[in-house]
Formats: sequence, structure tokens, C-alpha cells
Amino acid sequence: MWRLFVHRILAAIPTLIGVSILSFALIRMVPGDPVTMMLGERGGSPEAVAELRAALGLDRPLLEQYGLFISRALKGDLGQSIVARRPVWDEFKDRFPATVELTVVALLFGVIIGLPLGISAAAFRHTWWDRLVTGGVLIAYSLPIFWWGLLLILVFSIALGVTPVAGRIPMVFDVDARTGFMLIDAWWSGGFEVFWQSLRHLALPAIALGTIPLAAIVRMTRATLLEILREDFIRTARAKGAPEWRVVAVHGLANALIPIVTVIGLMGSTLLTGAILTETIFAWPGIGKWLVASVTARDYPVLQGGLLLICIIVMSVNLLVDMLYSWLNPLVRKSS
Amino acid sequence: MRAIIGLIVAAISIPSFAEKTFVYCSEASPSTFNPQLGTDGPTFNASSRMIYNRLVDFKPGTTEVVPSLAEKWKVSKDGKRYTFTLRTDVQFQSRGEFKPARNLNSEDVVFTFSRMLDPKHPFHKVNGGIYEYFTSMGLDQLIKSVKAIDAKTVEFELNRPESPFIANMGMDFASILSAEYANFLKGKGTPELLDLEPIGSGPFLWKSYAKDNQIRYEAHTNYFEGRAKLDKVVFAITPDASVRFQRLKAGECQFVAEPSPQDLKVMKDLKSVQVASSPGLNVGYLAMNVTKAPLDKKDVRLAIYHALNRAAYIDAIYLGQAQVAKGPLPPTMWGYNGSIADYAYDPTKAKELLKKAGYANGFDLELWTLPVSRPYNPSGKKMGELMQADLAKVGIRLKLVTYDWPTYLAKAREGQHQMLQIGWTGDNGDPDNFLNVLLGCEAVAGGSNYSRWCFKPFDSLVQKARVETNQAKRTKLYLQAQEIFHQEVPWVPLAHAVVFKAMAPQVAGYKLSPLGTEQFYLIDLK
Repeated sequence: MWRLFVHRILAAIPTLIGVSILSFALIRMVPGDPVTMMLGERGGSPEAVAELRAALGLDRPLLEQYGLFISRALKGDLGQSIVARRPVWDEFKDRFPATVELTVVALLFGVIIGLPLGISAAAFRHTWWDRLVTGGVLIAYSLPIFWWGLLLILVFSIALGVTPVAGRIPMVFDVDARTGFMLIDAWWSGGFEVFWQSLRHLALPAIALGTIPLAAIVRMTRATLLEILREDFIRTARAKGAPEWRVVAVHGLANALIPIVTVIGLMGSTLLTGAILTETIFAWPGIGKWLVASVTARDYPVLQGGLLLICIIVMSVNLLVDMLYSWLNPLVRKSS
Repeated sequence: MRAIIGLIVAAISIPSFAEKTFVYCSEASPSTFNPQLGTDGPTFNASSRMIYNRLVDFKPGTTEVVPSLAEKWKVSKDGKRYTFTLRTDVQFQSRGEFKPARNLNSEDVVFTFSRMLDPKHPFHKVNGGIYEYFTSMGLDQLIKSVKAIDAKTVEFELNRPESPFIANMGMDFASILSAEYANFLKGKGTPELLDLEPIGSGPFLWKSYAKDNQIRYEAHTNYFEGRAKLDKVVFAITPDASVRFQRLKAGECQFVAEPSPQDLKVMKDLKSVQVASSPGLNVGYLAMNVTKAPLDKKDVRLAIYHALNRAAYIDAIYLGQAQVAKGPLPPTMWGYNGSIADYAYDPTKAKELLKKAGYANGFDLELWTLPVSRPYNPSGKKMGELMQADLAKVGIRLKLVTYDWPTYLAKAREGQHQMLQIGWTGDNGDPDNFLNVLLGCEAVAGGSNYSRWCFKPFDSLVQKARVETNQAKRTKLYLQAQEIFHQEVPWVPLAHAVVFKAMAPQVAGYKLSPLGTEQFYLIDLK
């Protein structure tokens, strides 16, 4: 397992170099730079534009700019956001907990609802229940998030009035952001009452974001279980008189978990980086929204640094999943 | 949720017992809390008129310049020296360890402008050293020096006379900072906080900012114009327009930024929403690049003007919330020439003009459609399709092209287009801010003259008006300039859009500013 770990860390280096070059070059290949966006419709005299570009260091040769970016990044300095005028790392740090919080709760929602649905669909295969679940999952999988999110708001917040429309906490509470995780901060500053409010705010975005992983988990669980339930050792388990629930939940599920964990892991890293629409609809202050705004503003340092950070996170999550996988599966453990 | 709304409603309905908290659903995060460093609406809304004041201000709801931190000012005969006399009763806010020891004086004004002007100023480089608005308006080239004559007198010396200067002093980037606070922060080794944890003299004290989430303010108790009626203001950052509308309906905010025109009809019918509107200080137009054939021919430009059924766009694109423009200036601005007769929608006339210009069989032409929704044009693509249909009737085959917004701007500034949709919202209520910025010869190189139309007779009138200090004489010059614009047709002016705001019914005292930046000081909750 340690060999796997070291191997993967070494393999990450060329990937990171590639990502750094791509994120540096791609954003510079499209027309328009940060100065263009600052000036808007207004424009500015060529001298003023040149002056602004020089102040941002954009007048230097590209190779020099890239070299500077890499040498600073190696020292842990990702540069400064042009829009916010703060270090990219600080900007990232302020937003990442919100994204993690949303992702974790959305995944939990997917797993808690998805696993039992998938298991039951497999256990009662080809019944009306199975058809209902697989049909529902197909719809859930194809819902566009911006539409689904708004529909959830219209139903739960406007028609029923049971959840808030958007945000993380009612504006009457002034919650001190100690950790950046609102659930924790809310508990800290106001106990259960405020925690409950922040949970209510989290509900709709987590459902909206968790719907696709939920669908993926149901499908994966059902398909894998069905395959496993046809294996010889299941027949043996049944033959020795194990009750059906035990056959499915213990013998079956334990063996089906490996691909399911992989799906959850993959979904986790996608959600961490891809919650852009959900974050926009529910006014959730995470990193997806931040990066999209930075593309429009042509905030080069944020895009370079932010993408590098995200790349590191995705690779770490994948590594974690692989290690979990080898822990779950003795065969992989031995071969590595 | 019901309980919370109940709480809020209860809080605002018993003013003597509870705090008045006003929640504003804003559209985007501010980039900083110092308007010197910003160019965007969200930054100005969160800083300029909340936290700070300027030497002069615009009377709420108008573009009229009125005294603010300066109680009066004098302009020298040659128009190059402006002497401001400051009020002596203006207190800065205090927060945490910072307690101001003195009132506002000339040191603060000199500090504010020297920071932007002088590259050697200790605060010039703090937080980037880029003052793009100030620089792009050419003020770094215009202002020669800023001097304190005594504690309450400040003198600005200009390199040349420029009449819009006084209105410029009311613009967001001219907000006055506290030199005392800057020194306090420098002493603590955290000068960068000057723009991130601001102190100003304005009606609200900045309390906290949770990134992309919320900004909190409290009333500044010693505000020189009197304490605000609101106790707390919260900006709830909500990027999606339809979600902002839902939050307003659910009582999660009392005021929303940038309501979408599609929602307007529904909003007007709702009892729980109050809509305010006012003619905007803007213009949406079709810029025709006069350096590219066949648009270099006046007859061709005029033919396009006649061929477009602009009245139809008002209903289809602006949903009726605009009026047809017939020139570059909005009718609410002084110097507007109302006596000019607009060119009528007349496809037959257009065809004749094209024939006269030697294009009896029409020609191919490229139109760039606006890729973003702007107040002066909510839907560029849809408008482009209407234009395509209109121009097809006279034989002009229009190809619609568009790019993402930064690309669009960058290419347009280099003059790569034939025709493009663009527009403008005024900065300071001065006609120079339209006629010179959008049509002056200097603006061709600067990029904001999107027709690349440098016409000496027009330009000399505008430049003359720029240095003239007598407003009656300036008005006359601008009226003439608009006649020339009308004869030469560098644009097809399209529309002046109505600006509207949506708020909860209990919001009282709000004044819609034609200049865009929000002001919440006058608001009360009933």
C-alpha cells in the first residue's frame, strides 16, 4: 500500500506541471486581459492601458511570467488575485469550506438514500418497485441542475414555505466564521437553534447537488448487486440456509461495495469542482462560482493558482479512494 | 422560516423596541471596499455611498452637484485652480481599536488623491497600485497637484481647464479616506486593511464581510448629516436574478439588485413587491465602423438607420421599458437637443439611399451582437435577429457574430468590427461624459469611440465645451454638436432604457439615482 502511495505521488508531478502550463497558456490564448475587463465599455488611452498592464506585470515576456509563477508556487505563493487584491490562497481558503460542506452533505444525501434504494431494487428485481426506482433514477440523472434547483425553491420555499430560498444562514444572525463550515460555526455561536437554521439552508442545495450522485449510486448498487447475486458463493450462502436479507445485505453488499466506493469517490471529486450551477442558484459562496467569475474577469493568478489547487485536491481524493479500495479488497492489497 | 420572517416583520414593525435591519440582495461580490480600486457596480454599491463621502455629491435622485464634505468651492479665472473649503464637523467612524482623534481635515483629502497620483506615495502600491477608473478618465494626467492650504482648505491645480472636473469629484473613486486610519494601520504593519476593512465618514460603519456571502453594516452614530434611520444593513450576495426575486417574495430581503425585465410584470402585480422606476442615464446604440467600407459612406449609414424599425425593439427587447433614442444624450441630461427630428423607419427611403450609394443589390455585412445583458440592452442576440430581418428587407445580408464579453470588448477596441451593439451608462451627469468619451477623436485610440468616427467639426465643439466654465455657453456648444452627429450618422441610436428597482412594500424614502450607485441612507422601514 505504501508503494502505491509513493508511486502515485511521483506520478502526480508531471500531471501538475502539465496542468500549470495548460492553465497558464489557455487563459492567455483567448483575447481580452484583466485590463480589458477593468475598463469595460469605457476603454482607455493606449498609455493608460500600457500603464495598467505594466503594473500587473503583463508586459513581460510570457516565459518570464510563467517562470515567475512556478518559482513562486514552489515556495507556496500562488500570487495575488487581480480583482480582490488578496493572495489567491487566502481567497481559496475563504471559499473552500463552503464547497466541502455542500459536497459532503450532498454525498451523504446520495449515499443514505441511494444505497437502500439500489439494494431494494436489486432484491426485488423486475417487480413494480424495481421499475419505479430505475425509472425515477433515470429522470433524476437527466435533470438539469439550474431547472431542478429552481423547482425545489418554488415548491419547498415558495409554495410550502418550509425551507429558505438561498444563502447559508438567516440574515438576523451574525455568525462568526471561525472554521468556514457554517454548520460548525453556527453551533459554536448560537447552539442548536442556529445550527438547525443553517441545516435548513443547506437542505435544498444539498438535494439539488446530491441528485445526480444519488442516481449514479442507485444504478451502480443495483447493477453490481444483481451481478453478484448470481455468483456461486451466493448460491452457497442460500443453500446453507442464510435468510434472504442476510444474503443480500451481508454477502452481496460487502462484495458490491468496491465499485460503489469508486463511484462515490469519483462523484466526490467532481462535486468539489463542479458545483458551479448549484452554488450560483443558491447563492452558495464556494469555489465553483469563484472560478467562473474569474474567467469572466480574466483574473489570471486566480485561474492559474486555483486550477493548480483543484488539481491537487482531485488527485488527493482519487488517491484516497484508491487506498480505501485496496483496504476493502484484499486482492488489490496483495498485488500492490 | 415562517418564525424568522415573523421575527423580522415583528422587528421592523415595532421601531421603538427593536432594531431596523435592512437586507439588500445584491448581485455579485465587491472586489474591495475602496471605490478608488473598483470599476464595477457591486464594489461601488458596497462602499461609495455606504461607507464614504466625497467633496461634492449628487443630490439624491438627480445629477445635480451639491456640497458634501466641501461646503463651498471656488474656481480660478483660467479654470485651472479649484479651491475647496471643507466642513469642520465631519467625524470618521470608529471600529475596534481605531478611535479617530480628530475630525476630517485637508490632510485626508490630500492623502486620498496623492495615493492615486503619486507613485512614490507610501500607500500607492498597497493592494496593487492600480486606480483604473481614475486613470481611464485621464485624471492622473489632468491633476497637476493637490495641496492643503490650511486645515480646512484644499487646492487642486489642473494642467488644463476642464469643466466636468467638479462633477468628477462626486464620482465613486473620489471618495475621501481617513489619513489617520491609514497611519494607524501602517503602524500596525497591516496597510492593506485600508481597502479591506474600511473606515470612512459615511452613514454606515462596515462590520464584517463573509466572502461571496454577506456584508454587514451598522449605522454610523456620529454621521454629520444625521444618523441613518436604519440600524443595520446586510448585503446578501445572490447572483441569480430569479432567486433574488424569490428571496424578495419570501421576505429574506427587502431590496433586490438588477431585477430581470421578464419578472417586472409579475412584480408589478404582487402586493408584496413595490417597484420604483426612472428614466436611466444611458444609451444603447449600434456603432457603425466608419473606417470600414461600405460604412464609410454616409448614405449607407443613413440607409441602415432608416431600415431599422427601432420602435419595435422597445417592445420586443426592452418589454416597453425604454424610449427610442434619437441621439447620443439621454433626454434627462442637460444639454440634450430635443429639437432634432429623428429619422423615420422607412425601408423605401433606405433602398433609395443604397441605390444612390451604388449598392442597389445590397451587400454583406457583419453585426456583432452583445453577449451579455446590460441595462442599455437586455438581449443583444434577439435584437440582432430583428435587425437581420429588418435589413434583409432592403437587401443588406447581415451575418450575426458574437464572442464572450472580454473578447468582444478587446476586439471591438481594436476596431475589428463592422457594426456592433454597445451602449453606455453615464458616470457623472455631464454631457462630456457621453459626447467626448464615446465620440471624441481621442477616444478612437482609447477604444471607446466604437464607430472610430473622428470628425473635426464635432470634436472641436466638444473640446471647446470641455474647457468652457459657463454652463449656458456649454449647452449651446453641445446642442450644435448633436446637430452634427445627426447629420453625419456615426451611430444608429437605439434606446434609453428605464431603470427600475424592486423592493418590499415597507421600504420608504428610497431615491433612485440616475447614476447607478445605490444609496440606502435615506431609507426607512415602515
